[in-house]
Amino acid sequence: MVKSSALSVTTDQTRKNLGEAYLKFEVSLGVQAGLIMKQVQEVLVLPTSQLTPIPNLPVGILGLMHRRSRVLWVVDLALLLGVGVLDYSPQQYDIVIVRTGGSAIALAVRQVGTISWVQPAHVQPLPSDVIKGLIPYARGCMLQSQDIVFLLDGEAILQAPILQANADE
Amino acid sequence: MVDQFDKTQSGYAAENGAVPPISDAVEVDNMTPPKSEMARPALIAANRDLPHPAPTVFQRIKRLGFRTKATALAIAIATLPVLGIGAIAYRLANRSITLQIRETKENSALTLSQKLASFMAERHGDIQVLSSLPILTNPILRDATSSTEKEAVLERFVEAYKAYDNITVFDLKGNATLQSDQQTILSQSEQAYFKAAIDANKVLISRPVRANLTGPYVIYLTAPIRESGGGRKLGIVRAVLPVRSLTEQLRDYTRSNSEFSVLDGSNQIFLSSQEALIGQPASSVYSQFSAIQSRRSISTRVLERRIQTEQEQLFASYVPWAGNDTVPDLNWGTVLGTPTEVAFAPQRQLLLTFVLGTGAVMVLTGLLAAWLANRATRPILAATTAVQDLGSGKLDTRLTVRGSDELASLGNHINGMADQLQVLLHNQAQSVQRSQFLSEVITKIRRSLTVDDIFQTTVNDVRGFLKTERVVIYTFNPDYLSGTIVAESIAPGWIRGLGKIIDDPLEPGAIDRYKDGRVWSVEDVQSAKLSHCHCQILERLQVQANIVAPILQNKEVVGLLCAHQCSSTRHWTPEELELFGQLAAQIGYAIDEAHLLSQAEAARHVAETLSDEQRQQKEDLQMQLIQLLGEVEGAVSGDLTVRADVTADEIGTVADFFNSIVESLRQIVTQVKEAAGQVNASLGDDEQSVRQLSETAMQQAEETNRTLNSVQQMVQSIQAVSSSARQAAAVAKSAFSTAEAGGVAMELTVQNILGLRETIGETAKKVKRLGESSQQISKVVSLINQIAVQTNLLAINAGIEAARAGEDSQGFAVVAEEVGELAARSAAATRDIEQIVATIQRETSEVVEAMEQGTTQVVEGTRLVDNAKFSLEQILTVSQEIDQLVGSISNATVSQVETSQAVTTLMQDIVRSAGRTSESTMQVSQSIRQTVEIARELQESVGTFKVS
Repeated sequence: MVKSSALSVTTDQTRKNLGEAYLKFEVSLGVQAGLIMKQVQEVLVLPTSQLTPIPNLPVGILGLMHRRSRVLWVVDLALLLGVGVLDYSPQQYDIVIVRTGGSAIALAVRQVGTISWVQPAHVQPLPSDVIKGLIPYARGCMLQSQDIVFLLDGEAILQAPILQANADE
Repeated sequence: MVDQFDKTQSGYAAENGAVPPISDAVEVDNMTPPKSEMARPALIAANRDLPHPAPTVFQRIKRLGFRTKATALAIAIATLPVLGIGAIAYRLANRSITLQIRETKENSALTLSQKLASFMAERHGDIQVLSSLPILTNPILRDATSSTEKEAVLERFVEAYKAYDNITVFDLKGNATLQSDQQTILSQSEQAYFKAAIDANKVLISRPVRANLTGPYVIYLTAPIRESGGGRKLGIVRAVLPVRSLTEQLRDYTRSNSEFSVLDGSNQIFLSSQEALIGQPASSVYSQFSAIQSRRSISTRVLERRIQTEQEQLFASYVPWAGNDTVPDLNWGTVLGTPTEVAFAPQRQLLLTFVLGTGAVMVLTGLLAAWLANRATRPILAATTAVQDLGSGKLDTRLTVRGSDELASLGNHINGMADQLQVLLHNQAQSVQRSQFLSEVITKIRRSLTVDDIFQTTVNDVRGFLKTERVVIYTFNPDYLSGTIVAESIAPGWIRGLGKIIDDPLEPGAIDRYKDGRVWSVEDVQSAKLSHCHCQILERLQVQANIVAPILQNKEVVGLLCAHQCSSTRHWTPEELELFGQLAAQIGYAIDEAHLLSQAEAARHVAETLSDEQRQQKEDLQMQLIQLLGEVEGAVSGDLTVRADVTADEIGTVADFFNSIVESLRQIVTQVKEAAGQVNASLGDDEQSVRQLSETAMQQAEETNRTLNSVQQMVQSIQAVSSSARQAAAVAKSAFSTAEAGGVAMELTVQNILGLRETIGETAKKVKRLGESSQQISKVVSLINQIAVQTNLLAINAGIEAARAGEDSQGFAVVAEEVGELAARSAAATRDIEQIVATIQRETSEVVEAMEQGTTQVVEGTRLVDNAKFSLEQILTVSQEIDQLVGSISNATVSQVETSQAVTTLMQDIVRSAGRTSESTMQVSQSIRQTVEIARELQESVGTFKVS
């Protein structure tokens, strides 16, 4: 895991001056987050009928889905980050599939946004009054048209204790 | 008359040379005496039946005589069984004989066919023999014998068999090599039979064929010649068999009146006993040939055979080929026929025999039955004739009776009946005579008026009728102990009894017996048991036999009618007794009548005396009246003081009444005088008051005139009211029309409001539809939004892929990014659209709400207009009522005018009547004056009466 993150950093440094490409998305209402494109494998819209709920799972894991002959856990990212709960009522979820190294996970978010390029210089440390749940997973944040975008670390998300406990089981 | 008629009839008959049938019945009818007409009801009935135009057979049979019927019945009984048995026997025999005929016919036909078959079998054998002749088959012998010798052999064969025309041997090519005669024979290779013979390895018999078109039929028999031992076919031997030889064989059949025909396989006649039939097809010769032939077995029926135009009925049998195994089946049929009259001759003979035999038996039995019936009915007919004679009045007719059977007893009875009839007729005549006598005597008695005359007449007539010596009438004294002979008729020379008083007391029983009107007779006085004194009386009068009948008056025995036979004893017949009794009764009636007559005479005498007395009394009364009138004469001239003398008789009563009347009159006159005086006084008073009345009436008339004036003024004012009322009506009418126009305008307003309401409703609907359309738009917009989101995602994914691919696909990533941006913009645009649509929807819903409010207001407006309309209608009603009221006021004024006019008229009448009243009062006063005059005159007239 550490190896792959190093790899990604090296590749990042080979990029052009534009900066790094980030995928922007809305985790829950009013909470914007970004994920570096290298860690994103795919975004898609998943109808609820294709999500298979599994009993006796911890809160935050919605169930299983399959994509391109692979089975993935679907996680409510908002609940994971502690910034609220995803609205479960709609007929479909916006899914961001995160891949680092050999493992992948599907994050259910409120809405997928656009791709934006960020100069590393513009990345700022997290403000002090940030929600505690965000701290383990965010690398920093940036300001974009008066909105704070939390830049998330895919590896950290994959290392989340809730998933580990699940993996142990 | 009858004779004449007969003569003319017979004369007529003689002229015409024929005897017309004259009915015996007519003669008998004319000759019977008229008296017998009643005794022949049957004949009359028969005559009455004659007018019926057509009596039925049944009636005719009924009318036949008994003898005819009996004979007919007997003949029928005797002959019908014979006829029946004959018919049945003929039927049975006929059936068996028909069968026999049929069998015989079939047998002979079969025999014919068999004969034909056997003949052909022989010929078959012949040709076999010929074909195996050694000189033809054995090569050694064949070569050794010359052809001349061979031909001689063949000739011998022809002569020996006599059946063949010739025998020829052909080689296989059909050329004749050997032949029995010298005829030239052409090559036969083309002939049908020859070809068949070449092909076959056995004997063949050909169909009968004609050698030429008109020639006789021949049959070719052929057989192959084989070399002995080797079996090589050398040639054909042919025998020509003419059909003529068959005919000779069957000659026997032509003799037995029958004819035959032989048919080949195609049913063509090639051989027949009738030459004309040869060569014809069988079906054209024999009718119904197919029916007989189709069974392929022996069958027999009646056919019709035609030779050209001639036809004959044949009883024919058809036999199919009856060959055996030695001959091939030639399929020849044979028809053997016999003419029907010949074939069925035995049947006809049988019928004739039966008819003749049955007929003879029937005639014989019929004659015998008729004779027997005749003999049996003869006595009955004799009895009938006798009864007819008796019926026609010949009472002397008697039947001669023989034997003692029922018929004899019938005869005896008829004779007895005739005797009885004679006796009865005699009695009847006597009875008629007696009745005549009785009626004569009664007439005479009735004509006599006195009792003595009656008695005398009776005794004279009775003696004349009974032919006795004495007839007397004997009246009893009231004590019935003795009596007197009051009338007598006596033959000269006998003792007279007239006037003699005879003491012959009657026993009480005898009186009662006589009261019943019973007649008592004694045939011989000597032998009868009579009382001694009675006997003596009779002896005194020399009586030998007597009859006594009572004479009853008022149901009391008053005397006896006695007839005495003095010369000898006499037997009294019951008729004489009865007549005697009736005579006695008639005498009684006559006496009663005579009594009545004398009583009537006495009554008339009494009545005359009474009328004389009455006349006398009347005259007395007249005298008294004259006296009375003389006394009261003064009252005429007004002197009311006169009085009449009151006597004790009826006139006295009248006088008394008269006196009291005059007194009353005097009092009345006195009163009248007083009253006239009073009337005079009061009339004077009356005249004055009448004058006052007249004046008052005048005043009244003037006042009435004044009233009249005021009434006319009132009429004028009423007319003014009327015109005002008319003006009010006009105003009310214009108000009414205005109100109506208002109502119409209201109606229009309501209509417009309703139209507005509809328009609003439609607009609301359209707006709603707009709202629905905007909803659809929002759906489409959300779809576009989804698509934009999807596009965005896809662009991101494309970007990811591009980033993953490395530096080279940097441009692709940029494009993807741009696509993503575009998608974001379109999503933003859809959001705008959504907002706009939302605005539209909100506004449309506001419009709908506004519309609904408008509808509510319209409804309210409609309601208000309706209210206004209702008010207008009320105005209308009110104005109508006003109009009516004004009209009624106008009417009322009119009637008031009329009333016031009537009042005027009435007033005028009152004036007029017041005038009349005054006139009348004048008249009354005048009348009163006249009355005063009259009262004075009355006083004067009353003064003429002298009252004291």
